Amino acid sequence: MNSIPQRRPVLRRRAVLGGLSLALGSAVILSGCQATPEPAGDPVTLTVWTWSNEAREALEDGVLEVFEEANPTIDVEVLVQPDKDYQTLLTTGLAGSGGPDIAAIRSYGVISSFAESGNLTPIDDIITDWAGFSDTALAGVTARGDGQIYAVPQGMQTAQVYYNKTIFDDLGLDVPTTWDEFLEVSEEIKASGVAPIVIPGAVAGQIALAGEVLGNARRGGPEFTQEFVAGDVDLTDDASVASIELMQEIQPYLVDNVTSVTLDEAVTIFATGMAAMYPSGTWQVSSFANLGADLDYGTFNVPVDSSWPSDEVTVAYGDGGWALSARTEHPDEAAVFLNWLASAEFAQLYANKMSTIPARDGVTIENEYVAEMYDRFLANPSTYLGLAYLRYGTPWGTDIYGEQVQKIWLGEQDAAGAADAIQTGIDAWFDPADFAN
Amino acid sequence: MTAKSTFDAKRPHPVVIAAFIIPAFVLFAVILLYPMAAALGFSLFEFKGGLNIVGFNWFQNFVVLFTQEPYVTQLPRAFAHNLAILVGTLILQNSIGLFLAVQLQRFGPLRRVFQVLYTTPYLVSPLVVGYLWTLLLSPTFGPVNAALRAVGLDALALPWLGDPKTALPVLILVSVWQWIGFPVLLYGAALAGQSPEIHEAASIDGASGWKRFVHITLPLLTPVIGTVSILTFIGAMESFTLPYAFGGATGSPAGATDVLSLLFFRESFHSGASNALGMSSAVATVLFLFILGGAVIARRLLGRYEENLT
Amino acid sequence: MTTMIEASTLPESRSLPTARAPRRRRRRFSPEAVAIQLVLWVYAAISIVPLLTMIGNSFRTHFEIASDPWPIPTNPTVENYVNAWVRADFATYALNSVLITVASVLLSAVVSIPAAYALARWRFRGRGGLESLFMSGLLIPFMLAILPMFYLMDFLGLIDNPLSLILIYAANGIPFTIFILTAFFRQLPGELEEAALIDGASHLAVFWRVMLPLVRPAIATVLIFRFVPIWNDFLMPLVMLRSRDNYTLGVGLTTFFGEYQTDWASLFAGLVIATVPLLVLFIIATRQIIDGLTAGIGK
Repeated sequence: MNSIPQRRPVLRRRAVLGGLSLALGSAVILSGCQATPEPAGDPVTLTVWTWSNEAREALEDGVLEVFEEANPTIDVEVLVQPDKDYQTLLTTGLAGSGGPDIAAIRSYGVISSFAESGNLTPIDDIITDWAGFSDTALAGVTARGDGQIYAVPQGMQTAQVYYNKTIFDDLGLDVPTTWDEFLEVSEEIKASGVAPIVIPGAVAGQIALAGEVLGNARRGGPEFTQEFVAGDVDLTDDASVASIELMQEIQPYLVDNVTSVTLDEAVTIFATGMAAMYPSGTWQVSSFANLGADLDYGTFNVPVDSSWPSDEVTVAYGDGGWALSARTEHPDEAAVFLNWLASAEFAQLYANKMSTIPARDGVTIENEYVAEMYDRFLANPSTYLGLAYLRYGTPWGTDIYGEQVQKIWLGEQDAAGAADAIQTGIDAWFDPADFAN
Repeated sequence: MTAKSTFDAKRPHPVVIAAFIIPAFVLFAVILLYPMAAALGFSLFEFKGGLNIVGFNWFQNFVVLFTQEPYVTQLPRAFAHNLAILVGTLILQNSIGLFLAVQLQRFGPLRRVFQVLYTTPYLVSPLVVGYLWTLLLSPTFGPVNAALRAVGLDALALPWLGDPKTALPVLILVSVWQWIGFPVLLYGAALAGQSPEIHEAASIDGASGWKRFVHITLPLLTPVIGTVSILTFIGAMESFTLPYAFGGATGSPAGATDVLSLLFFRESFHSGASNALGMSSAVATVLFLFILGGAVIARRLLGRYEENLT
Repeated sequence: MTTMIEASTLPESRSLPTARAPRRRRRRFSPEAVAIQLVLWVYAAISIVPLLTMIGNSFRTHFEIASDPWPIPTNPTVENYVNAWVRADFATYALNSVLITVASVLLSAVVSIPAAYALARWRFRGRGGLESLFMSGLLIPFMLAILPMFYLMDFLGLIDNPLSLILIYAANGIPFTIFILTAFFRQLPGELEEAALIDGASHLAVFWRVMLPLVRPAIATVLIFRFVPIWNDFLMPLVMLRSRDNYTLGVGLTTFFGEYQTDWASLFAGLVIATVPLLVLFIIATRQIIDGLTAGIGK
């Protein structure tokens, strides 16, 4: 049964299970794996885990090469573990043998939980220069419990409104500059027989993201977030309710049967010109390109009404980071690699291969769509509240938000009721004091 | 061997019994039972990040599960959906499966072709099946609604998976459709094992086909029907992949397809919650105890019925 | 309805009373029989929709699949297959899948069948409890047991060793196999067994030569239904295995799932590659069912 070659020696055995050793002794002998010491001079292999096939392709497409050329004694191997089960796989991987040296980990709640588990090493002092990173980016990789940094930020996501330029041109429409204009534009598009807006209404997380694009400024932008985290206001506040109401206000302009639209379908609907606008994340630039549709599009931020508490904002959030396993056997090599991941050289290569927004400065974005979105992000970023603060426990605030907005669209709920439900849901675990660090 | 001398068909020598059972028991106990018991034990602990145990906290996780929002609303709702899936699949899978199996018995070599065809949905992983049906049932691009409109049945061209009223029934139908090969094959195997002499005798006695089915075939099939039903029950209570593929982790739309396993998934490490392992294990323990109770009762009823038969 | 039972009890290999054959042929063309035929064929058509969708779409582009899922390739392309083959190392994965799946299904069957027989046919103390214990193995969400299983395998030094998967899958198949086969063993008439014992056969011989052949169709069914989920699984291999050389087909297919977007075109091609062996196996196995059946009745 051992005919398949073994690449990694098996390392440690768990003392916890010592009681079983007698019964299972024979099986251990059967397995016949012996730890073989690395011959001196051979390069050290660092194993990196990620949930993203895209990230692996980008890294293996000329990015890691640059590092390995400069550091011939270090080999980097990237393993992808499927997204849906990533956290479970990483829990076992970080706690047992044969795990990663460095692992991509999602920002905010997830990284805080892994930090608490004691299986990650804080890297505040390992990275020699944090100066290039923005506060928004570092907030995403700082553990809530001890306030230490546990990962090098991978990148940022922003969420804005994509619009189909061909449809806008054909109808003689300009990008709206006020909320009223946004509604007027939607009305005209609707009259022409095209669906004005598409949202992946079957996916709770995507509804929450679209809702954030539309509602962040209506709620009060970064100021509201600050007050919310300080415990001065909660989600049943008038401004918060009003931001949910926007989802009701745009309902007439949504594609038909919006609650059955999946993420894939939303991309296709927008890319084939069946809908004119799509509030979504920067990652869609790659999705549209991969789909292979002939699409001429642009982006804008949701315009605000003068009565709203905030000016126009660009919704943004930290998109994971590279963390250091506490069990790594090559802490020195891992430190070298992490410092490279934190460098402007890496950020320049990676952001452009991935077509995403970098977490640090010193990067020139080549993709015109991403560059445009990046400029807006630099001008007026506002953190995605649901992702940054409402995912440290269950239920996730974003999940209830999605479910409640579905209910609004199905005629079973109103905005105030939805706000109540979301606040009640997060009350199960949310405590502003936890964010005091 | 030793048992030969006793001539007791029901009681061979203990060594023979042990030799038959111990290999299965050892493998089962070490590789499956022990990890399962350990996993259920997690529900009695509080964790702080991953596997980091804070301490033993008795039944605190269960108290939270049964007294706090959102669990007090989500748990019964998910439970009700599991029961609906159970009732739906139990009735449809058994009746359609039995019908098809009985019909196929009369086919010669063609039977094998049908058995293969009916089982193909099972060969594809449920995740992919879920995606395929999402494509096929899409109100925007899907061929199902296009076909319905083409034949003038516009009223039936519904947003199948986007409407809380239709999402769960569609889920049940797809699940039955995927698993139908199981009862078809198992009932087929059981029918093939029935001794033809009994039927021939009954036929000579002049019993009609329907009568013979009800009085001879069906009672002889009962143990297998019971087995299929218990497995259906377990499958329905644990169904995860198809609901996940259809409605994501939240049981979209508006929680209409939320089931216990999704609740478990949302509580697990995926959530990033500190005590994820404690709470998700508590959900799993509740699920386990319920299924165990149901299965034991079902088994007992079945056992009683079988005793009556012999 | 009269035709139903009569035919159902008669496997084709059995010599029939000559009077019956013409009667059956006549009934096949009755309106009722035609209607049933129609139902069977229509249902068969519905059954193969996904497989056909999968195969059809594996020859289309990502954009075609997304915007028009009806799987008629207008400009068939084999690019997806090239893509799938290059991106995932299917040749290695397939070999691992065969090894792991076959070994675990066989191991599971070898230990479970005697246990099922003992539980079904013999009376001894603790039988009921033992049966319930085995059954409880069916009741746990597999996802939850993953963590302790990982530690167990880590402790045994089996991480990144296919043996870990074989043990887990085999153990996981025991409750299912025992549960189904006890029902079938129980169904068998006791006279056969007693007669053989009186003729001087040992319990082992009775099990092996008399009773086992009678449940071969059920065993074949159990094997198929255990084989498929192991073949398709990708989670356990990812928990237990580390190096790509050890991965299975199920893991290979996850290569096409992106974070935000799935490459459905390549995935469908990969799925066809991964599902064809299953289909072949299944067709062979159903022949086994029929052979087993005739052999069993020939006794």
